[in-house]
Amino acid sequence: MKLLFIFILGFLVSCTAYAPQTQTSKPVEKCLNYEPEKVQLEGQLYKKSFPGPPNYTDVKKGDEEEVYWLLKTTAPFCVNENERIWAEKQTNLSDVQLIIGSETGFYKTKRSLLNKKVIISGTLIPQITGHHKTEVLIDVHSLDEVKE
Amino acid sequence: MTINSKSPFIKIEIINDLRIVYYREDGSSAVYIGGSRNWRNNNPGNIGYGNGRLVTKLGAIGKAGGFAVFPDYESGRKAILSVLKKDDFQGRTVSKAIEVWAPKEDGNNTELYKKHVQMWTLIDLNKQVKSLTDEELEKLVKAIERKEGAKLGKIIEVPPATGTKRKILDVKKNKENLIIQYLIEGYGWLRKAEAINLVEKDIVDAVIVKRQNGYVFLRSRPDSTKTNNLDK
Repeated sequence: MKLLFIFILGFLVSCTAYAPQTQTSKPVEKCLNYEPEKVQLEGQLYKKSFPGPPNYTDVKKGDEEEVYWLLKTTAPFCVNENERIWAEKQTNLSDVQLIIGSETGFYKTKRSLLNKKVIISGTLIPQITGHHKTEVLIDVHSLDEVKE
Repeated sequence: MTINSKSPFIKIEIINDLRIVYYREDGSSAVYIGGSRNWRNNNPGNIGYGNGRLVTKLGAIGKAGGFAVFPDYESGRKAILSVLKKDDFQGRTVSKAIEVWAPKEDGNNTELYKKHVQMWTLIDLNKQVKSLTDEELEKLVKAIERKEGAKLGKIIEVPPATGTKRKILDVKKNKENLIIQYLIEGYGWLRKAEAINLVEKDIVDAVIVKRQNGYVFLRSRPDSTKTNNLDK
């Protein structure tokens, strides 16, 4: 009887050791690296207006409007520190401003992808100037729709 | 652009969106009023504050509107140069460096920034930043400064306080005869909430009065004259 009790207790302990942990654990943030490493991000492409010069406060109060494309990532991610470019670790990121090079012509050719799920490959750049609206930006190399 | 040859500014206080007070070690200060954000912040390159780590290395003394505040205009110019000398910018072409500094916007004539920089500097934009001479780098800094476009405002110098607090010199009232603005010695016209903030910080000599109906206003300290009480 005593042996049976120990067996049942052992069985229950082993069950609880596995099941609850897998159900309650939070998704682990994916940690990427700043440039020059190439990365891929997936999420919804959208555009947003921001107040620009002269005061970067309010378009209604006379600031110029700056319109950029951003990506809302499917899952939050983080970026590792990079001493070489004085960039600190960033965590829990979900919105990323796109740097779209003139040579890509993406503002013209990829406009139909706005508000759709896309995958972007490129390099991550830390926020530096007032024209940078998110903590981390992506210099876009390719931008494609995710077919579901 | 530096306002005087006194000791450098060591800290700032933000009064409102269009007003920053710069303090020197001797207690004197200068109030920067109006103009563009990059002029008020002594930050001609519009360098963001971020988490403060980069800009503190570059000499920033504070943050206003999400942007770094530098102690003087020259420090702000040097900060542009320091950013261009970072490893990541050094490895880019001038064209790419500009694209990263001010990313192409949707729907605008986005090539204008590059065209202007090329026109003003005569630098081949396909050259790598690391291959630029000191003279060319200086030209690039000037071009970014010009393109970002600082608009001048007004600076009011305020001597060190000699044990006495700033005084309320005048008030502005609305149609209902309620005070909406105060003229504070050395600070100019401030909204009521801003003036109350300075009283709470012991900078302005006045008393905060709260009525039972919730109306709050400032009164000068009681003296024998009733006309200067600043009652609503």
